[in-house]
Amino acid sequence: MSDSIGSLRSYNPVVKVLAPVPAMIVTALSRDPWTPAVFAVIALVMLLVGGGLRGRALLWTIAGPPLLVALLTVSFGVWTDPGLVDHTTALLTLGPFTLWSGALETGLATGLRVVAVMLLALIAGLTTDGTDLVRSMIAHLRMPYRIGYAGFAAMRFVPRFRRDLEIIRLAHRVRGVDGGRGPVATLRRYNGYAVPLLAGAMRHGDRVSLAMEARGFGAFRTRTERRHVPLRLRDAVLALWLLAVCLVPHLLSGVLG
Amino acid sequence: MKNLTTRYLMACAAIGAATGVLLIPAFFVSFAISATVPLAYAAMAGVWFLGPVVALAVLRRPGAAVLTMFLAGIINVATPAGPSAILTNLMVGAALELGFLITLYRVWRPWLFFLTGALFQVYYAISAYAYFNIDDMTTAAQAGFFVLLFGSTTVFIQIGLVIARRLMAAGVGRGVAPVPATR
Amino acid sequence: MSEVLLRLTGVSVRHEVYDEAGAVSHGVPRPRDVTAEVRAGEVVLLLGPSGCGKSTLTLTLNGLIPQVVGSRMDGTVTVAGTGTTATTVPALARDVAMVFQDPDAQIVTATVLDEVCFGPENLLLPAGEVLARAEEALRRVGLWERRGDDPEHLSGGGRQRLAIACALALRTPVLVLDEPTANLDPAGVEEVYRTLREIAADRDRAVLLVEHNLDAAIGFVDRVLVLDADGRVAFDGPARATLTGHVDEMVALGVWLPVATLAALRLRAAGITLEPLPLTPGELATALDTVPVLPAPRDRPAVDVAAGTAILVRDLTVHRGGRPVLHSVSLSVAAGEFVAVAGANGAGKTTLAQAIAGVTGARRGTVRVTGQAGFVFQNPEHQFLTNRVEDELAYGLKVLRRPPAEIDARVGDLLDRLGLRELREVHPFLLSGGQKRRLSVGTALVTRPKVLVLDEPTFGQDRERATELLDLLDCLHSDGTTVVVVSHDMHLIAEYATRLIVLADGRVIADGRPADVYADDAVLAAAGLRPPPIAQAARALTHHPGWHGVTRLADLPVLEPTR
Repeated sequence: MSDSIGSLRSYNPVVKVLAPVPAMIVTALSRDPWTPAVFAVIALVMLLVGGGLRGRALLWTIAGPPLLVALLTVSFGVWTDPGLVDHTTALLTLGPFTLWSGALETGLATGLRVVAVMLLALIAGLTTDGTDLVRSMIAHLRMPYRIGYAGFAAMRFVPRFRRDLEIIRLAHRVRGVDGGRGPVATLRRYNGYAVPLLAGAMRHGDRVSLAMEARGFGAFRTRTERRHVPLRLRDAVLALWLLAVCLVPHLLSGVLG
Repeated sequence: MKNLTTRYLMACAAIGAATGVLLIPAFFVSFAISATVPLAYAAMAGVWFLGPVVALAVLRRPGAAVLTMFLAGIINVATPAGPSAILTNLMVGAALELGFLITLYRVWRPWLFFLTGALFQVYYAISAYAYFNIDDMTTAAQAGFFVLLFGSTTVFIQIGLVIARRLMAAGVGRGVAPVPATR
Repeated sequence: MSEVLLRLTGVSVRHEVYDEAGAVSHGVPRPRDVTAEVRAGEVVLLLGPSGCGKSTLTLTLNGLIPQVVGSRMDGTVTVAGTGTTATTVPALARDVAMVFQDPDAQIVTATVLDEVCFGPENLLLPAGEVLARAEEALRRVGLWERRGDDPEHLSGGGRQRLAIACALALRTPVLVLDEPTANLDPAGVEEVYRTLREIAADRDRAVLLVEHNLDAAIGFVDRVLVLDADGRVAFDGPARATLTGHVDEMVALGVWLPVATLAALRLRAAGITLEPLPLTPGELATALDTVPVLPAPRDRPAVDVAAGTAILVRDLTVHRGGRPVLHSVSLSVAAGEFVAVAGANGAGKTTLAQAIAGVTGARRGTVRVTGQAGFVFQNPEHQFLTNRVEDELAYGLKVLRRPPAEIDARVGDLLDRLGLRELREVHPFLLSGGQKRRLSVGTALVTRPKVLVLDEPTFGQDRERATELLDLLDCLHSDGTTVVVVSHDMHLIAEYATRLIVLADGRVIADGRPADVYADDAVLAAAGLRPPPIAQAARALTHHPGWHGVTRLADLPVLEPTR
């Protein structure tokens, strides 16, 4: 793993998760298309420069946002109340439905907002390992290590539960459970899987808890940690930068009048 | 802290892991849906209640919903929501916990689950208004948004309660949930 | 005399029992009034019939009972001078280390090294000390080279050795192991016992072992502590003298004895007395060789195989996740056979069984089965769909829309046959392990399939429960049902199966009578199988070549034809 200052991976996970939050709030509350556009571009550039992305992740990070904005522009545009925008230009008329340019503008702003929030979240999402995040939360957010280790345990449960679910599905089919098609039938089928899955899961959790206590888990208020997630000057810089970015809309409104 | 026994934590981890697995497609689908049919997004908002409802109804301990959703969130870091999934999930868990906190964890009746869920959705609708630009939508779309939002909340809380009841019938949670006073 | 490290005084445990309303009471004490001690350097084997409270007793030794597991304990347990109720369970981890039955349920972290460090870290040891201990423990069990691996990637035996390393890293004076090999295949059992033998040889700590696989354990234990069905101490004394001196009482108590000893008892009934009573296959062979003349082994009754073919598999190839699991497997099974499918983990056993029963689709080749095969999954709970035992049995018939009168009659018949009548209104999940297993077999039987396929039906069950289930299968087999069992339980295969199919890497590498397959060392090695203890003894005989083909208790000469 790269420890170079240019790599987002080298930054503290908690900082990466929390520092973009103010920017997300500013974005979510904005109404103009410019604010989210600026945040989206900043986040995208940060990801492309420092994310160390490769393959599919890189492809989606580059191609995803424009596609998503286009899609959201049209779909939210369709849902916009024509009464609010019928003073703008009519772009397209299909039977009783008319697509107004004003509606598309509203849709564009919404689309940009959604994409900007997503990209800000991905700054941490694409560059952080779940276990490091938990370790960092124990070290830097003073989260009790007991809860953190419950998090590690939960992560380890996942592949096991997936396997169990697969087997339960087969087992129910063998018993002659006929689901039929459609969402209601699927929902009902999954309802049937829930009990054996969760009952097995909780019994497994119970056994793991006995094994953990038998190995001294919870003996003291702290425990030896051999692995440390650093919190450094660069993390403060990242946090300040993401906070400073929040001033952008203020500046924009000055520029754009 | 005294009440956070390892057994209880692992029970939450188990429900949290299962919830997390369930929510991974939900995060992906909700993303795709919010991109195309924002109204349908409201129809699946209730899914987030499944895990915390089961956790609270089976374990009947303070913090069960928050813990379960936090642990589910750690698993959901691998979704388009990234680590903000932890915040999203925590918010849902904490919200559901509120109703029980106010009643000092003495009432475990279904109505409290529904009421708390509904109140959270009011709050959610208000925040979603700005985010999804709902006030610019047609009146029919706005009405649809609310109907779907509360409809899905009710349905999924009901499913959660049914699952919890069936789990308890299967003896799950014994030894972790507090024992009811001798009847 | 060395120091007493573990002292139990009048220990009784009553578990919480829940009634239908969810209210709690406490059940009968199991174990009951146990007083015993274990000294430094001793290896003690705890024995007793199913349900006498062996596992429960182990949980009292580090305070999990009564502190964590809901139960009431009378009496006192002291470990290295500390009372288990006077301190917390985690604090006792300095004095007692535990290894449990299920290796998967003991793994917390993502790498082998982290896993071993977990315990010492909890005890707040300095990081250097943690690593030193971890390295020593991992080298001890032969896993140091794999320290960077995910525990998930170890074999079952490897994971259990990891659990032992985790216990060793705590450097406790007391080590407790609760059925450490119950969930393992034969190769895993051997690995774990090799490790345990070495640890026991150090004589530097007190070891208490619960194990139903006496054949593996008897070689290195000093003392046995035997509980009776009520959970009271029946015997407490040196291992060999106690087992051989009270052998008839042991049988009466329902304690499972080493197979070599059971063989000797059977021969005694036929008038051949072996002295001293053998406990291991080697001793049995030696004892038999001192007998000048042995009667011929019993002939196996010819298997009553009908002319018809029950299962026909042609060129079956199955891919899973892009990887071939079965390569062009062909076999045919005649109606009325009792077929065992064995092989190492990942050899394709379960896949083959599922394909035969039509559980999985998407494959190349043909599978033809007479009628619809019944399939029983490894974990019974995965198959349960309803809230009551009788509904569970009726489900398969309701799906087929049979008339209610017929459903009632068949369900009633099965409830009696499976011994579940008293429990017909109970939730299937609340049954005991053995009852759950019988119910899951019942759900497959209710539609009266001509072919019944079972995946590892004895997995994780003790000898007594396994035998109970196998007797049920044997009954079905006698009635003409074709039975296919996936298993690595050599005892099951040797005693019951009429045919053994061995898979390795998705191919059939042996197919024949179990006795013939057991004679082929190359096949056994390739499939990670071990011959059953009787076969080991029989093949080691030098004076009785006529006995080399003996593989099971039923082959031994007897006076009356009993099983």
